[in-house]
Amino acid sequence: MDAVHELPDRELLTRHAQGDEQAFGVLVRRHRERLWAVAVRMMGDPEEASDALQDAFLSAFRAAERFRGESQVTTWLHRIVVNACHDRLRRRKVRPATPTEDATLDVVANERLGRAGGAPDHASQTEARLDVHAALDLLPLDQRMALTLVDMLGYRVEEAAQILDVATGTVKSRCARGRAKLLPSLAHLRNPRDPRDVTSGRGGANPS
Amino acid sequence: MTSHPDVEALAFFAEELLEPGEERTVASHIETCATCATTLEELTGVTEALAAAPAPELPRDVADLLDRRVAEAARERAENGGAPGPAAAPAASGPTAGVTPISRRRRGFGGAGLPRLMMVAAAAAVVAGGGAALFNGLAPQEEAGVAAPLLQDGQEEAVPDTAQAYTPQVVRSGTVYTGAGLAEQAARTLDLSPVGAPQEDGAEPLAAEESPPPGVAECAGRLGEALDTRFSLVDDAHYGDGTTPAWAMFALDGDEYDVYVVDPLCAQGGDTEGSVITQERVPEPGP
Repeated sequence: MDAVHELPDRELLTRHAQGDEQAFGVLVRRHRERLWAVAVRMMGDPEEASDALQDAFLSAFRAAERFRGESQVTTWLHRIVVNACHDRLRRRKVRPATPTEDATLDVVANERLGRAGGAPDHASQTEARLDVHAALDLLPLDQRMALTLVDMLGYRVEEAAQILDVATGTVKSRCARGRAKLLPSLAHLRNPRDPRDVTSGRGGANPS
Repeated sequence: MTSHPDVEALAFFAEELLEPGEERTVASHIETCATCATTLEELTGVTEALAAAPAPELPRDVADLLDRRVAEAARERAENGGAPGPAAAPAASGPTAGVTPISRRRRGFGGAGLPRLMMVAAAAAVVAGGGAALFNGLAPQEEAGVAAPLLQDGQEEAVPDTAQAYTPQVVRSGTVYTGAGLAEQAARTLDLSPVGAPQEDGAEPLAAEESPPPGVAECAGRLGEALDTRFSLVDDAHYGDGTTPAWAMFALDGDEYDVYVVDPLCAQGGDTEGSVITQERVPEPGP
């Protein structure tokens, strides 16, 4: 057992493909924290992140023998997680929006607070998360995914490009478009002390 | 003073994505325009706000759940003789209650996606007939598993609006389509297929399949009817992790293609639109 835990990713994947029953579990435990971070920021919701991560790991479990070693195992796992999230976000996007969406967000926020123990100093954090994800919901999915990887999670553009299987220039332009679209809804989060500046800046740069 | 660049231009400027000429214009504008300089700073602020968004740690119960599901999968595989056999169902239909049931996907697609598609389809019907005729002309031998009557020479162009006189061309590009990469992958498949630019003797990197998978024409016909469009090309491929068979179906709409990645279960009838896994629009490839 101990020896298995020290094997490199690639070797674990090979063993898994050969029928080893433990190898994939080791791989999952090795990368689950990181991939959870990706999924939860992509989905903006722990339960949906959990579902997406289950999808992803089971996909990877079955696809392991097709892994040809052209990329890092971690990149490959990231790609599978990102695709699982994409599918769920896409389905969420085509669901009809209810007119009570804001009310729903409030309820969700309260439920989260309740589940988290309801400490009052968590309130502003929860609000920030909801704000960010409500804003991200407005973006086309490809922009949202690029921004999540690069801005939220801090991946290098090259890494994000590999994960998303697109050119680095594509990642950059998706990020740039996404940031421009998010500016009106997110500027206040960063600079709450001087809302006047934020307003004048936005109005001036985007004349109608 | 020159007019203010829009926010997106500033965001592109920050990423050094502008053309040299445009970049110079924006750069000199910012030097004299405090407003745009501020906006540029605020764009950095967007990145900071995103980076600062709190995210919960991996909850213990989720970690355990993942362990359990992977262990289950390993056990199932061992019982099936070590190979991922027919038990390798799509993850979305797995047994865990927390996973979104398929029916939710169906409801979502039919509810919101469809009306928009219906609207564009009216325009599509006129153009798609030509595309279908082209494909049929190139693949007249393709009868296996096709319920629709074959086209007669010279007649198909006269009756582009006859739904029965239509069979999509089937190719096998070997692509593993993914949600994230669909636009680029679909564009690649289109590039390799003889669409848009009819070349009588040109080389066609993707040959028409002479034995298309059973049911593909029925599925294309039924889905085309439901969406009020026509599929002229089907790529018999895979989706997601590479183990899920899927058909990528292409329908010309104006100068763009609607691409639907469809679960082959579609061929068995039932909820046709519910078999759509994902969808994208890509431009028609140039000549």
